[in-house]
Amino acid sequence: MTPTTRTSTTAPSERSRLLDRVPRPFRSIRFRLALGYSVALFLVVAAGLIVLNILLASVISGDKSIAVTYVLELPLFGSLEVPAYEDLLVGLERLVNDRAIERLRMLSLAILVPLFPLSFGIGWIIAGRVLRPIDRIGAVAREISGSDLSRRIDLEGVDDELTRLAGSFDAMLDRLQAGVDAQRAFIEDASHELRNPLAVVSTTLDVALADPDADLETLRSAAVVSRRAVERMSRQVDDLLAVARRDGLSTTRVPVDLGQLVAEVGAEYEAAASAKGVAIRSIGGPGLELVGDSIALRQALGNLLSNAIRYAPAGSAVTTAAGRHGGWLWIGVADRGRGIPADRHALVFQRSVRAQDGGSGLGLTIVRQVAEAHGGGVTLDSAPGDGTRVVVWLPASRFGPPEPVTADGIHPLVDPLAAIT
Amino acid sequence: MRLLVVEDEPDLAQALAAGLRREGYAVDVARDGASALERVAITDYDLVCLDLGLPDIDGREVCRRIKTEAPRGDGGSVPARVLMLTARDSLEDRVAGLDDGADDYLVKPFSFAELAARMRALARRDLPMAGTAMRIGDLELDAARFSVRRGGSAVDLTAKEFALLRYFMLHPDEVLTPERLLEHVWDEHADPFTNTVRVTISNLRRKLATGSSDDQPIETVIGIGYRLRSGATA
Repeated sequence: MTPTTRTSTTAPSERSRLLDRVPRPFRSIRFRLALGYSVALFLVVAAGLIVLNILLASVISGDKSIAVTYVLELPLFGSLEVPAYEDLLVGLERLVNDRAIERLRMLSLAILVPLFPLSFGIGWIIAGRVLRPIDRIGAVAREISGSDLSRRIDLEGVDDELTRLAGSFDAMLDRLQAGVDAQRAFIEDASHELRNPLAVVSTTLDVALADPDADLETLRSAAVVSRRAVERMSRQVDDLLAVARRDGLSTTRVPVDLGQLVAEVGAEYEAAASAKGVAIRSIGGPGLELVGDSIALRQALGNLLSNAIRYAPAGSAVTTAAGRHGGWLWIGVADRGRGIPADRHALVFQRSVRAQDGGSGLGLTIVRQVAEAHGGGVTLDSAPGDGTRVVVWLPASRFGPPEPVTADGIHPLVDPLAAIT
Repeated sequence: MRLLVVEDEPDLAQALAAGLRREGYAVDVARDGASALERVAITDYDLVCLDLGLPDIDGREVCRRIKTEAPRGDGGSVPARVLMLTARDSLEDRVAGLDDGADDYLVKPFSFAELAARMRALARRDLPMAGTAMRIGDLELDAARFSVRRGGSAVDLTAKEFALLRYFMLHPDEVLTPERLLEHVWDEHADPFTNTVRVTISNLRRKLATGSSDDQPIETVIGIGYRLRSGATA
């Protein structure tokens, strides 16, 4: 705590203002715990001793006027003056009691005086032991910076409040780190993807410019190639921006009709498909509604469709469909293209695969991001020569995990498009 | 020098091939790892310009196999020298690439001038020479400036004649068969049954001639091939 943060506090309570005047070492929780503990113990013991003394004194109260006394020499109590007019034993008893109470008083004081520092010391040690994990949590929190989230508290020991707190803290760091890592990997991949069209432009221009006898035709074709590469770069930048925006918290949640979405996005890509001689088949249905980010879902489906159209052979059909499976809703795209070998399925999503024919290389990454933002996932079903079917699974309700849940907890292991196409 | 460009990006492959052909290389293009390995298996390439991001086989695997499975053609050839092209520039990527047998490493986007310079450096790696100029007898060839001088006076050569002379100068005093010259100086489009080698050599000899007939540096070894004499006119 710095003085500036303290003065900026608008309305400090009476107690904290009082505490602020206490010198810093005495403000620590450890000191306050030890002090409170020893004061409480001191007061309880003192009260107990006082009550004991009073009780004893009242029990043994009586007439103490003495006329004649004997002097007795007893080995334990020294010389005793025993009153003569009473029974010797009664007088003896009373005197012994008085002396015992006197002794008790002295002993009580003798116990009380060192009790305070002793209990403070024990309280200091115990408080230190209890609070040590908090210092560790604080130290880890200080070491963690925006770029390095690798530190963990890793608190060992019995399952108590503090180990649970440290555990929650570590779990939070795990989640944060996973998010930061994914984003960093994506940005890295995206930047690398940008280098490929850049290399096309720079090499094409270098080679064209280095040729002193380059004719108009050569220069024109260099310009056409550069234009094509620039178009690809601008698509990549658009995709990067879309990803960056989606990482923000501003995702809108509105009711989205997936059947309608499929029909609309399918119609949007009609022109691009027919230019390649590919037909688009849209299969929707009523009642496929969820609450989500309609722009993001539209972009995800658009990315899938433009991929499918790119790889579909001329004369074939690309199918886009929406449907329901238990508590899941899905949208998907199927093509009859050359397919993806099984060993590359994971790669398609893990890292942005190299754009082959003008794609940005980020399309499927964005699709997965959109699905995950809705609490769902993406499945890919493809084999060489069998075409590719990509399904985006979305929970129909935002409350609770949908049924059926598979072992990986993400989405059903079925391919709804395989039945349709 | 026979050179293979392995690059899946058609525009980049085309630009690289055009630029490197003008540098005097005989350039073939492979669009993926499998066809690259196929070509390397049948042709004795001197240089390979290899993109790491290939659609089928990982570029590093292609590099390993180029280095280990290269053909052993005539003249006890060495594996092709490999220049890796990649979009990834982290230290680990570069170390891994060089460990896989790459001779050099260039990160995209690169300047074509740098790529050409690195190719020249790889081509002359075994030769005891500094800079870009080679000198054999009174013949002087500068690959960077694309210039040839004989006895101090400039000789004007075509790209193919230049590439042929450079190959002779890289292998002085060796007898080179027409087949070997065809493989290393001409690309795959050359017709092996024409007399293109003989014609180009006779043109080259004519341009190198100084007047007297017995100081011709390229001599014919009858029945076998041709040889560049290093002590021609020294």
